[in-house]
Amino acid sequence: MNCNDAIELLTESLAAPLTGRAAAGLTAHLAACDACRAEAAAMRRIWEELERLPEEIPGEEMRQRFAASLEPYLESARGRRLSGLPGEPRRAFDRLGAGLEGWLERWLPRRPLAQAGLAAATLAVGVLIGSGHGIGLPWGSRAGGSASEHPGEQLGEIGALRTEVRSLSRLVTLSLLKQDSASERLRGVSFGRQAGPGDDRVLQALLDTLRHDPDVNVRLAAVDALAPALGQPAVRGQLLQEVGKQRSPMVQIALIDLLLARDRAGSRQQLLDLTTSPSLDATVRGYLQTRLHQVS
Amino acid sequence: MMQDLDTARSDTELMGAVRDGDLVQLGVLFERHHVGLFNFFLRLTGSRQLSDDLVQEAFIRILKYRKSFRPPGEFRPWLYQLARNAVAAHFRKHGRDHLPPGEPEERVCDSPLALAELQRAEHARLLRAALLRLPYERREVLLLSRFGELRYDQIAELLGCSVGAVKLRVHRAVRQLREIFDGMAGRTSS
Repeated sequence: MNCNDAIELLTESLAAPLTGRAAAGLTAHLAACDACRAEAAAMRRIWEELERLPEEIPGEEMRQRFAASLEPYLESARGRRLSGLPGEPRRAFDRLGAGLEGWLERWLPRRPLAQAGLAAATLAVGVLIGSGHGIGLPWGSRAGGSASEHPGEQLGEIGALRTEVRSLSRLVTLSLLKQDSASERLRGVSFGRQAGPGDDRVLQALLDTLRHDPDVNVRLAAVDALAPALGQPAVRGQLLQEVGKQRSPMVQIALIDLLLARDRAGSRQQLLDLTTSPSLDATVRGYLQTRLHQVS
Repeated sequence: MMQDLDTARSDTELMGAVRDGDLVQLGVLFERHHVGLFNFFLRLTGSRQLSDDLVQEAFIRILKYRKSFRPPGEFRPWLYQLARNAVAAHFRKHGRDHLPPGEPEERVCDSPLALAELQRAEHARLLRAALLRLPYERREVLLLSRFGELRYDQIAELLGCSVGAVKLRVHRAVRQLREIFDGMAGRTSS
């Protein structure tokens, strides 16, 4: 292998790891050629620098613009679908379409997973209501037996739907928190916050995010999202632990502020103990001492 | 049993649904790709406003040309083809002269940053500026490869050249970027 071949393989290896003979050949060449070895190190360094380049987050208005631009296409598509349907079925579709449109307006800019889930839930509710009012969709499976004749059954179905929607909310949060994109995970945190402090799986996912997410903004958002659950001893304990463990002073300071603002009595002693921890960043220690002094 | 409706379907499946008239699925594709596309445009042009416009234009093109998507073809190369076309159309109309000359537009940050984070932010600013000083063609091929997550054969098809030519361009782009970046970092620290 000459140097030109090595450089070509080296460039190839930036995009995808080499295997087999190509990998072995490049390794052998780099071991023997100082110039190519230096070139390889320099190329990989700049490639990794690019990897670390933070992603910029576009403004929220981008979604709104997109939703507005999609609207005429959706309108047109719905019109085409409905053109062949007569009477009541068409009106039922109209209502469903209007619901979908409203859903799109409210949710499309923010919550992709919720979109699908809520659309499914809306459809189910629509069918329930439709059968209750005797709309009688052409393919209705409840012909001759409307829901209003069986109120208990209807309530049961609505309860089941509520459970389904709650389960979807959780699904949305958990799925978004696993996304590669930091902006998606930020949305997951935001969605988790709206889900409230009552869902243990969502709380655990937010705590995991606080502990492990590589993006400082996502971790900061997780601190805010966990605030309503501070009354739960397990959550408070984990937040206190994170004050000492977090790598970013910004997150540590956010945690200190949260704990002292909302749980001064419960957290003060443990925070005081932390001020003697040798592993605590000096700036954070100084801030913690000042805040403890202020609240004492 | 409810499925994970978002992550369970591949981009290609979603785009196939859009192509067949289920336009709502475009919302899911938008959520998956608009940030990546925005960053591609931002690193290519250095302008946030223009990048915002180009993202809108790219997704409008997806709608307009949805029938030209041919499953099981991969969605991402097709998306970046439309993205490149959006940029080319913009340049045909307005030229490239109005692009920022090698300095990206900065977002105003009003939150206090620790020293290490300030250093990281400065490092990133220099790298973005260095990227913008690369010749356009080299910058584009580097961005497609590094951030577009496209394989060299897919980039070759996009650019209408051989895979070997793509590798050569990537190598030259990386080398030149390194020289520019090191030069800027050296000047800054001296």
